[in-house]
Amino acid sequence: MDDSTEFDIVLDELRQLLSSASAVGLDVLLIGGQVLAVLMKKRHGSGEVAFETSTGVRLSRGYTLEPDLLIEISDDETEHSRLDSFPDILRQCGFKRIREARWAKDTKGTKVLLDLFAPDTTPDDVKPTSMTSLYRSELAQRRPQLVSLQLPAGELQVRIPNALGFLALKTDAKMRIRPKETKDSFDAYIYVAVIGVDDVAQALAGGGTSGSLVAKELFQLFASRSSAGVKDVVAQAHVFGEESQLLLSQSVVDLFESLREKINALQAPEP
Amino acid sequence: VRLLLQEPFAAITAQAAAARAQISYVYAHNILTALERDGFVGRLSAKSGFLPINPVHLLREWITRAESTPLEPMAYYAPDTSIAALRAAEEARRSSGIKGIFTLASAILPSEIHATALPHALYVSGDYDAIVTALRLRRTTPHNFLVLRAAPTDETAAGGVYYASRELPWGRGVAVPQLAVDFARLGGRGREQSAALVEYYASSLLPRPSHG
Repeated sequence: MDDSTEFDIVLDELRQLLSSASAVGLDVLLIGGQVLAVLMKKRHGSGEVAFETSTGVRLSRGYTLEPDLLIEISDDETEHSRLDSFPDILRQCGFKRIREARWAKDTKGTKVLLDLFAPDTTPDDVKPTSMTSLYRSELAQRRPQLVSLQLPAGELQVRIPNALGFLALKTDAKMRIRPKETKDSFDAYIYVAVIGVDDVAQALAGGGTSGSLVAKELFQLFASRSSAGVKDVVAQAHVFGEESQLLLSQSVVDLFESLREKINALQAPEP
Repeated sequence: VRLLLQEPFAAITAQAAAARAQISYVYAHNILTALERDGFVGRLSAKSGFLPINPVHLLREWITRAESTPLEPMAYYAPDTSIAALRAAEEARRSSGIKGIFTLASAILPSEIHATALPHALYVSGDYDAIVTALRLRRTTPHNFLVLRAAPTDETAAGGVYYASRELPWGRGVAVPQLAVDFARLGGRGREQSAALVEYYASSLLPRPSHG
């Protein structure tokens, strides 16, 4: 089975699960690397994240086959009874809990793996099953986008964070949770490259103090060719040879410099 | 280490290890006793053979040490990395008399795949023009096919990268422990794939349920 077929199977499982959750009024947000794959599928018809940089280096991130789901939990206690049905919905959809916050389903020759997250403000006794607490979840939930994908078996309607929410989770992951890992910087870079600096600048400039903070973190990670985020991109992209690595590094720095200029222009006072 | 990981339940003496790896007895003895000092292998008495105390720990230690030496490949773009293309490259390799063995994405079975978009690779000794032609390799990005040179001491089936190779449907690939090490040295998502292969190796050591 090729990666494209496997990705479509994962999306169809996601479609059935989100549809069942929505039917009982549960809000679920897709977060993490699969957001990129969904956006690529929406824009280009393929979930493969691949593109060419401004300096002519071609990159492929491949497919993301493991959805990360943020279960939206409000402070309203009357809504908590709906939450309790979520593990049953997962089981009805054929998933089994295999460890902590991870659920799995074997289907059509592949294993679909889900990781569950909850806002870090949610007490453990409110969570209907084990879920990883997600710092900055409020930013991810603030202005979600609804993406619709037509799949062979029906329409997938999935909510994803906007640019501020997506990037806030990625910079937090890189700078606080797992600074030695390279994938979060890579995802942040690819997101800005794929979505475009105009849209990202709009979201960050309009995001108040949180937008300014995330922008500052991005500029820290991608300030120069020797910055941690730029090195991460080169390592994660599997680009070899001094010349190719130099071209890729420079395109990363140029992209974030361009983002900085856009944000500054949006925040400049009217003459 | 490759010998110990391949047959973790068979005690091996320094003399046997030296003969199988084609190294001196003194060198083999020094390595095994160093591993014993570090707690990775043990033996019942001073005269008995060495056994890994925990093969998975030994593999993880090998990976940790190897990660500090990233791969330095000749990197190419291959327009086709399908099984048919890999099989054609293997046939070209054999018919041209090139010594080589697949690793990274070219040496992994579909059931062992954990991460996508990882590059294919081939260890080769000597010229490899026939491989360049067979796979239509070009020196451009994305670098999805890597040509690797093993260290001179590892270019052997006697405990080197060719040791305990696997026959895959499209050709010969390195053993699972070597594959886990190579993915770790690749870095990035290679590390995730390496961790998954360590789990796969660990599960392969468990006793299989008997029938009847």
